Amino acid sequence: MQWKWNEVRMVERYLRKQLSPRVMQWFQAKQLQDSDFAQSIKWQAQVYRLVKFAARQDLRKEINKAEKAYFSE
Amino acid sequence: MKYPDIHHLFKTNREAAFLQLYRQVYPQVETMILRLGGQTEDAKDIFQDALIVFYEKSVQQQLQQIQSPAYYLKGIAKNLWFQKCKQTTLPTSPLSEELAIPADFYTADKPTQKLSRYLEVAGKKCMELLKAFYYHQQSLRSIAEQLGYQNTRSATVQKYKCLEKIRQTAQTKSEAYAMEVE
Repeated sequence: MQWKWNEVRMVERYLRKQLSPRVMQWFQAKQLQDSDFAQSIKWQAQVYRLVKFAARQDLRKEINKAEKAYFSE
Repeated sequence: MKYPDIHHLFKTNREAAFLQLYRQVYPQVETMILRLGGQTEDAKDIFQDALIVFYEKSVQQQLQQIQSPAYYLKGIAKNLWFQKCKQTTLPTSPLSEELAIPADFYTADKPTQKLSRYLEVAGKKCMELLKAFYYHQQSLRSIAEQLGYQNTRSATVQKYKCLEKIRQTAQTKSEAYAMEVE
């Protein structure tokens, strides 16, 4: 099964809590009715969490550099 | 430096923004943590975490009405310190939502090596793109310029391909996929 663009974009908006209440209601109902859709959301959410984790680690490195620079001033 | 300037600097030169916040706010946070019974090393750790929370709230546009980064960073640092000390009775204020620590900040599970490898197969540029879009909340136009894509559409297509590549890699190892997603 290929991911559909619209679906990917909608899940992105769902993960960022940007869906309107009406669309959110439809979205949640579809998850209950369509197991492929629910699985697709779970997977995309997992990727989102992994990316966030990796990005936070990078950000911490940047902050460490700033901290070193500050304490060596 | 006022918040709108820091918010702008986050987009153009994050490291400079962090250094500026160290100069402007760290001494106040250290004084506060020492007064609350912590050590200098605690203050350093707490300030790093506070900067991450502050940054995330800033890029998610959750701090639009603030003027002073010092006030918010101190508030976040105080909440983090209370959390660390397992004190649950935090002072409430009208701004408590903005000072709140994200639910996944300490509880986020470290990804398994298997899952991390799925991301690695997508390649470094894909990861940069996904981080820029999902975490740093950069616009696709800005991502296209930064990562050398011809235009916004190319960046959009590439983002989709990156996600698809990760998903397909995981699906070829379907047992692991099912287990990890659960």
